[in-house]
Amino acid sequence: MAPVRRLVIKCILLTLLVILILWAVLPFFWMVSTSFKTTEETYTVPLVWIPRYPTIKNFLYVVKRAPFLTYFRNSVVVAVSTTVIAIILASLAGYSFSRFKFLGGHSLLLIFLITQMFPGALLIIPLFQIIKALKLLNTLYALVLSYITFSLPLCTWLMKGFFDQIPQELEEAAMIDGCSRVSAMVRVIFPLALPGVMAASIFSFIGAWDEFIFALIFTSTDKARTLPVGLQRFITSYEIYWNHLGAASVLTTIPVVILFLFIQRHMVKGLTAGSVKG
Amino acid sequence: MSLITRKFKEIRKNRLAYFLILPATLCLAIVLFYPLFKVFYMSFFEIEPLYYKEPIFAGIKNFQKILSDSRFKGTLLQTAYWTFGSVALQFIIGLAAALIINEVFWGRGLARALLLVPWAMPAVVGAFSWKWMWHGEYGVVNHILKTLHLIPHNINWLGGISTAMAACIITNTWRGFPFMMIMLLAGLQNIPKELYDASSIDGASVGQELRYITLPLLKPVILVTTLLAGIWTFNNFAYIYILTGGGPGGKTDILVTFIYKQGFRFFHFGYAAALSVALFFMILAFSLLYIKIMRLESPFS
Repeated sequence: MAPVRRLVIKCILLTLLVILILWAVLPFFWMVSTSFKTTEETYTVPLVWIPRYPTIKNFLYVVKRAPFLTYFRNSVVVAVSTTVIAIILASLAGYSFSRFKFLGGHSLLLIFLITQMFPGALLIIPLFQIIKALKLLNTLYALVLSYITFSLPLCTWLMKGFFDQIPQELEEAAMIDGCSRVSAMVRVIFPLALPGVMAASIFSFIGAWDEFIFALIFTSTDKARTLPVGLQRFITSYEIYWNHLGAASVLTTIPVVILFLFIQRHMVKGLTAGSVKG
Repeated sequence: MSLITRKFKEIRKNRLAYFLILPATLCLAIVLFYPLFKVFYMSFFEIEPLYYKEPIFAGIKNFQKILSDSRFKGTLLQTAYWTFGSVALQFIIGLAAALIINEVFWGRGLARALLLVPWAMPAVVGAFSWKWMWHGEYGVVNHILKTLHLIPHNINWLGGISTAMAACIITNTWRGFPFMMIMLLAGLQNIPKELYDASSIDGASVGQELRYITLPLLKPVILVTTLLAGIWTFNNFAYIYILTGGGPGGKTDILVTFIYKQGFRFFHFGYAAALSVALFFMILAFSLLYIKIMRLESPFS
């Protein structure tokens, strides 16, 4: 190919890439920009890209006046308990699937794979009735229980994959040295699977942090509402202040970003420092 | 030793294995399988809490209602439009992004990180951002299109019958293309460079390389990712609910929002249960297809 033609193609590709990137980041940029605007500036034509009179009033309003902090606390409690319990259950199940050949194990594993496809929407009708009968409507228990279940299949698969990479000889050696199977599992294998735990935790945490449909159906008071449904409350009230919603959205995003940064560093460390490389 | 006692011995020998999977299996049984059984059961009853205190046995009446419900047919068509539209666009844009990024140039890591933003931010926040961007008066989409002289007046994107679904699909494409891009990029990096060297010696054009080398070798990855994206889109309740709530006039309802409305807005629980049963069989078909493809050509093995 002629060098000029090659250069032209490269320029076209670069332009395309820049447009694509602008499109990808525009919504987040726009939300952040709105969150620092006064109400007047939010509703100005023509639009203002970067707030001329930046203010943190929206954030103060959201934190002080709106029940945002309750939503936030609920979200943290639900996401953390979901993650911790789901990871424990998934590690036990994943270990079992990885190390034992047992009757019905293979079909059970397949069932775990299929349930990953089940959407929450499929079960809202019966689950609502069950949760209501258990008198768990408007409680965080209902959310935690359902989120655990929906994150278990994927987490179990991930953990099984990580355990598969750890050589069986390690726990055999521990057992020869006098460990029981259970203590070999807890003391030798689980610490080695820590990077896997981190990966599965991200999925589980973000799944719970983002979940919408169960949170919508199981909660009808602010007492048990989580952030995704709480954000919706800014819209269904009589007036929508998009700058307030913007501030709430930014605050909702921050924990996820922190988690990503923290875990990314942790994961790299875990992979390089571990005695077994994946 | 008879077969039964042998099996029993085997189970006893592996009792730790069963004990370890018990908690997880119990969760699935309570929250997934029991409700699944219950939804089948409920679908044979008329459950109308507004009219009757107790459910009334209805036989297959709810299923007959599905077949004669014109709104259901409309919803099904919209679901197909939503799913195929989103996945097709996600695929095209994801592939384009992957191909561009795969060409080595300066700033590749940064570009990839920025293109992952839609996927990394909380899904719900993405939906709200777009709802604000599609705004009829103060929306940034109208502003940009007017600045570029592509439209003369403001358009109420999410409120218009002809534009609402397109706007929803574009929003969902934005959300889903990074996943496609990452998976396709991983696939691209597994294609041996020698193939392209050989084809350029033979004088193949860029288009021919794409048609005869890249796409055929990416086929396993493409199959798995499009199927996964299809299932996710098909079930994506939150985006439709937040963006339009199924409106205007039910024109953006998809199956999952339709079920939600039948149950929690109109309180036709029996009918909603029957619709869920229909949904179940569609997802089952999807899943079986997925497993078959995974087995036939696992791209990760």
